[in-house]
Amino acid sequence: MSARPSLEVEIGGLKLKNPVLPASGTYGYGREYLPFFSPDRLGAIVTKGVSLTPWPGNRSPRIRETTGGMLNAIGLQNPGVDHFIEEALPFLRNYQTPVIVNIVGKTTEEYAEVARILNDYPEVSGFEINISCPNVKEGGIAFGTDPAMAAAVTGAVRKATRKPLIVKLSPNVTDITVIARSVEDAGADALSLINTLLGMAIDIRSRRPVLGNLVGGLSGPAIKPVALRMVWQIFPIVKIPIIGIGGICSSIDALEFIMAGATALGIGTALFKDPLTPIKILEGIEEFLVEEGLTRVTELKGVAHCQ
Amino acid sequence: MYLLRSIISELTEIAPGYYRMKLNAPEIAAAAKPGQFIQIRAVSELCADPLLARPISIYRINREEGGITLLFKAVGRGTKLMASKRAGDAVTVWGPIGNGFEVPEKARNIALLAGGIGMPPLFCLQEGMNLEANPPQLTFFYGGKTGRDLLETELLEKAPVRLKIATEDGSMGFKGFITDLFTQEQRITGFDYLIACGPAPMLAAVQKIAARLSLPGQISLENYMACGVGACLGCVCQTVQGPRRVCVDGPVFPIDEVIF
Repeated sequence: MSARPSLEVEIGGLKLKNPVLPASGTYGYGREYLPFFSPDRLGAIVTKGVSLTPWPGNRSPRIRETTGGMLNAIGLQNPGVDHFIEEALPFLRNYQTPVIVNIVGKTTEEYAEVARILNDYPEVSGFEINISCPNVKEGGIAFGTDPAMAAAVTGAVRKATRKPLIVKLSPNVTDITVIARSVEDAGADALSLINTLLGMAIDIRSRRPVLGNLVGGLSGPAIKPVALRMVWQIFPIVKIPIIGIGGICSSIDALEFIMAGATALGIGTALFKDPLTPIKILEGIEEFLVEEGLTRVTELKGVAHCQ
Repeated sequence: MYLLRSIISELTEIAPGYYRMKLNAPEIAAAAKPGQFIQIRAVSELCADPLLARPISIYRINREEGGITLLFKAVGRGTKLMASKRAGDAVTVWGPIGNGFEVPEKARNIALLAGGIGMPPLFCLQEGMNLEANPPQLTFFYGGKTGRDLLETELLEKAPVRLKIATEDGSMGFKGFITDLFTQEQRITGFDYLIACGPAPMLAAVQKIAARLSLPGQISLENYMACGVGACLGCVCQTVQGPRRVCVDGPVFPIDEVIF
């Protein structure tokens, strides 16, 4: 019998026992999915966005199912960094798996301040900055659609922490390669690709947009080919690792992203359809590696680019 | 909370567009209490469309048989798919979810107000309370647009409750809103507690009446949901305590807390 294949990967110096992570905003701060699986099964925990002060989020309705996906306009509702330290960190301390804190802000200073405050906590292993939420007017996507602003916010957070820094990019741009290069140059250790695609739905009875925010972010299997194309497009032009996110529901989806160039994977909306998705993906990846006679998942990274 | 593949033991169209589904789910039946709900997905986990599970209230709990019963209206893709299943088919369910009703012991004369498809959790509550020793007096107000929207009234007639029916078109019982019928009865009966479940405009009206009468009570909300476990914040409602998740902080809230 040969040894089990290694699922270990590395993101910005952070060693992960496997490449399967929750996508920010779909997994809370880790508590909600305890009835289904232990956070220790995951390569890392990626938290819901944390801001400097509490954010109330958008008005209802905040979600709507669409064909093969869903729209959301939650509006980054969160109780703020102080509450996160008091309530979420003591819980997360019970687990061995690294914690990556997703940061949101309305200004460059707010992003940096959250990173500075959390930098001193040893249980925070790294940061993911969200410059791509389509559902908040200030901050969020305003930083993600302008290469200079994306670089500025990345640089400001970089100065606040030496921990691994991941930048989550928006697909709602003319050329994502420009933004990717810009944040790499500004000191990002990794990229998360992609956040949701801006969309909408209309209620034909009321003749009005369904969502309280009028428009929202499309996620789920419907966006997978777009996300996969963007990972494929960015992989050859940056040196830093990519976390592939966007409609991943199965180990086949996950392996496609790895072959396109992703080092790790974010599982988001698929958790809502089947809370055990991350575990099934892990098992499926391992099974595939065994079938293909491979010893490490990293052997597959970017192989779709080979001639 | 339990996640399981559950076998449908019975599925009946009890009125046009309305269905009763019995599920074999022993773990959920053992843990469930009135006011809680389950997430149900009637397609295989390999199938990505429709994507989300549907939150459906628990109508009856049968612990001996290890079963739960749901009543639902087939309105969209998810519920129509549920309706297309047959006895013997499997569905994915997780639950029980939510806080459920907590009725204070000092409430002895309780009005239950069920609007339309808000009936099942209140039916579940009366059934549970009537199993207790020395149950309080229960008056079950059941309202709908027409008599055709009122389900399983023969069961309610047999139940140890005072049944009061209202329809907007007058085709069954009192003609008008259930809240009007309640106000009329309140003058005679003097309820000391009020529990309501139904569409948001009805709950908003119930809240106003309760405030005017200084009547304590609870309301159970419904909302679109994605995760159904408290993670996504898609179903959040506004309350005097700040934003609250309908799925796990509710669906039952004190009658004076929700901001409509």
